[in-house]
Amino acid sequence: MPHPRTAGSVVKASAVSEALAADRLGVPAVVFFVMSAATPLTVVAGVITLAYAITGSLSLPLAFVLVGAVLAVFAVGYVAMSRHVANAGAFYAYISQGLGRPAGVGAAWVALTAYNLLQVGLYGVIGFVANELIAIWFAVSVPWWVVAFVAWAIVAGLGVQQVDVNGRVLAVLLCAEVAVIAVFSAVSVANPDGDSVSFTTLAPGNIVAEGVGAILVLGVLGFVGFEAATVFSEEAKNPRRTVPAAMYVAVGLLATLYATAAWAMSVAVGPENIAAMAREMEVALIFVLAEQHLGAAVANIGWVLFLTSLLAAMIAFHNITARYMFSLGRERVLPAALGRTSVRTGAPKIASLVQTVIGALVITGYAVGGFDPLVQLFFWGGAAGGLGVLLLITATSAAVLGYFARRPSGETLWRRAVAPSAATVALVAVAYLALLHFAAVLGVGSGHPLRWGVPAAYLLIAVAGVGWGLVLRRSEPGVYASIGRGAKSVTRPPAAEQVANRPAPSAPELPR
Amino acid sequence: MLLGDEFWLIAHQEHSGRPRLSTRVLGLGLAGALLGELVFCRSVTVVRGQVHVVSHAPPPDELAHWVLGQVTAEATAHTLRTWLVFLSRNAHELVAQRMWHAGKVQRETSRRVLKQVITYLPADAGQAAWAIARLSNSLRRQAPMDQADAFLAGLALATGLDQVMLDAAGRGPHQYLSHVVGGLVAPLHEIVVHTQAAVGDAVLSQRA
Repeated sequence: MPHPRTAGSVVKASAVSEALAADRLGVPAVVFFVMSAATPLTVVAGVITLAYAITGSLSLPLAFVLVGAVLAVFAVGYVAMSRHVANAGAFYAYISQGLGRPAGVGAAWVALTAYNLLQVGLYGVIGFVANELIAIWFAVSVPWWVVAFVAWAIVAGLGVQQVDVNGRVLAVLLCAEVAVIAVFSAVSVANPDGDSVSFTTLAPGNIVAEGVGAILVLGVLGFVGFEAATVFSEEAKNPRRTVPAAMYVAVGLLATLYATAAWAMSVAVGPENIAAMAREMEVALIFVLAEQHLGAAVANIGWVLFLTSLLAAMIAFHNITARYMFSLGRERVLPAALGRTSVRTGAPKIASLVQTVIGALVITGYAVGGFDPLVQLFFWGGAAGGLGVLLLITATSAAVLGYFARRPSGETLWRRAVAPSAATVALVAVAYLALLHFAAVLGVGSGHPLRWGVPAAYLLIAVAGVGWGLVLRRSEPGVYASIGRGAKSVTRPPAAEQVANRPAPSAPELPR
Repeated sequence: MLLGDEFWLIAHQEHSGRPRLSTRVLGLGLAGALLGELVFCRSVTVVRGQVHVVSHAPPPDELAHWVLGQVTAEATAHTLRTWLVFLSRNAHELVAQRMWHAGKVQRETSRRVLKQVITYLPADAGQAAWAIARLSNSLRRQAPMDQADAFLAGLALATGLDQVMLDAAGRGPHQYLSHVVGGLVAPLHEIVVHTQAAVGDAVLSQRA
């Protein structure tokens, strides 16, 4: 049978387009990427249990549904704008184009801080989890920071090597994680506390309770990583459909998974006991529950997957942070050295090393200071990082609105105005509540220095970034012009004086 | 001078034939060099990131002819970026084959687990080493460079090979390199910066 395109086809098939299409990503590939970056088991075993322990809130399952819905609406405008953004994977690029370049620099610095907090926070929890496994298998106890440094060395090595943690490996691990969450949740619901399944934690009435801002921040934390899907808009099969479809699917799946797992936990121990149980067992809670009903072997599989999930999360956040520094280095907003790649591996070498040094300093500081790795490093780091990402998403949503207000052509009213407006209003409300209840997110009193220290630090960093942007506008117009363009900043249209100096295309003769 | 061959020599170790660059970056650099050959043959030009055919006269080199054939065969003009990505997919094999036919490299076949691996070794290690040393000398002495050498130096900068070429060279030669790249004719300059952007974007969209 002749190929349909060769027989009687008017439009000649493009060999280039066909060849490149073979490399392009479809919806499942992008969904896997987004969900791997979100590392669901880390969220379920780590974030949800500690959120119950620290906030004591009963509306956690609903918070995930609510945040998922807001993020899905946010994604409408975000993905629409990503087609017009040179560095489509980074919030600050949107903010540069939508709210001005100085705001973009401020956002970039906030983002660097927030992702850093999320990344280094994971060193705290991995120490705890690995210790649990080592105790089970070898009946010895090692300090958490020893394990943290082993994990740190692995992340550092992979970061400089630019080793592709094989997509298939990540996909298999992700499927295993989802399976573990599903099985553990099903068993919890099948063995409810007091022999009756309670729907208390799904009751909408709880969401308006005191401290709702706290659980919304933690809800956002569960989805962090979804924003990177737009980095593939240039490589997607259908730029207009693949990335948005993948984002909705991923956000929907994650919201369902988190809400179900959080609800199932409350069913297993009873809503009235969940906070106390979570405080007592911390991240071990779901594994202890699984062991009761499924045996130690299954619980151990869960522990191992939790460990690999944490490693994957660390590598993902290490790469996100290193790439942020790399783009800013390429734009020369940060020192150009950060934009250097390793000759042999093509990895963002210097940026990766800087991130590695930061990790070492934090682990050392916590080990020397004797701070609690689980609550004070992992949970506080996660909560503070989650707040930063929430503030960035809120600013990005406003930027989308601002961008399309000036360039409305080519997008429907829904995508350029209605959805971004709704998302911005909702996100501003969430951010306001988060700031209002930030003491509850951290589980500290309202007089604690971190209660205002974290929001104030973000404000200071943002203001400093805006200031630096304004300095660049005055002193380095070329650099200023390329803010938010990432790797493409070298291809900017040359400034006027460069055009004058550049020989006209025909001026110097090319040798034969 | 065949720019693709020269860049291939710069990008590989002269004795072992091992690439100095990662596969993706090496492919992009070679793709830039192949498009540069067409610019030097006056077959194509680049205007604001788009590749346009200016002459259908067959270039003397067979591979350049094939690349030009690919460009002319397309019904619509593609961006320089698209061509870089398209050609980068098998530029390494294409250039190595051409060099093998010309006796510039030797082919070695070795068996690894489950598959055969073909590696190419420079036939004359001294000549191969000269490819990078010549550019390095010119840059270090800040000697005048013709468009072909300036273009190769630009591709080295775009792919990160300048770190090898100007190892421990200090500030002056690096600044001179930027100056040399700034003096490239517009189409060649565009190829260099778009290669550099593609290399950077490869970092940002790494499918980990």
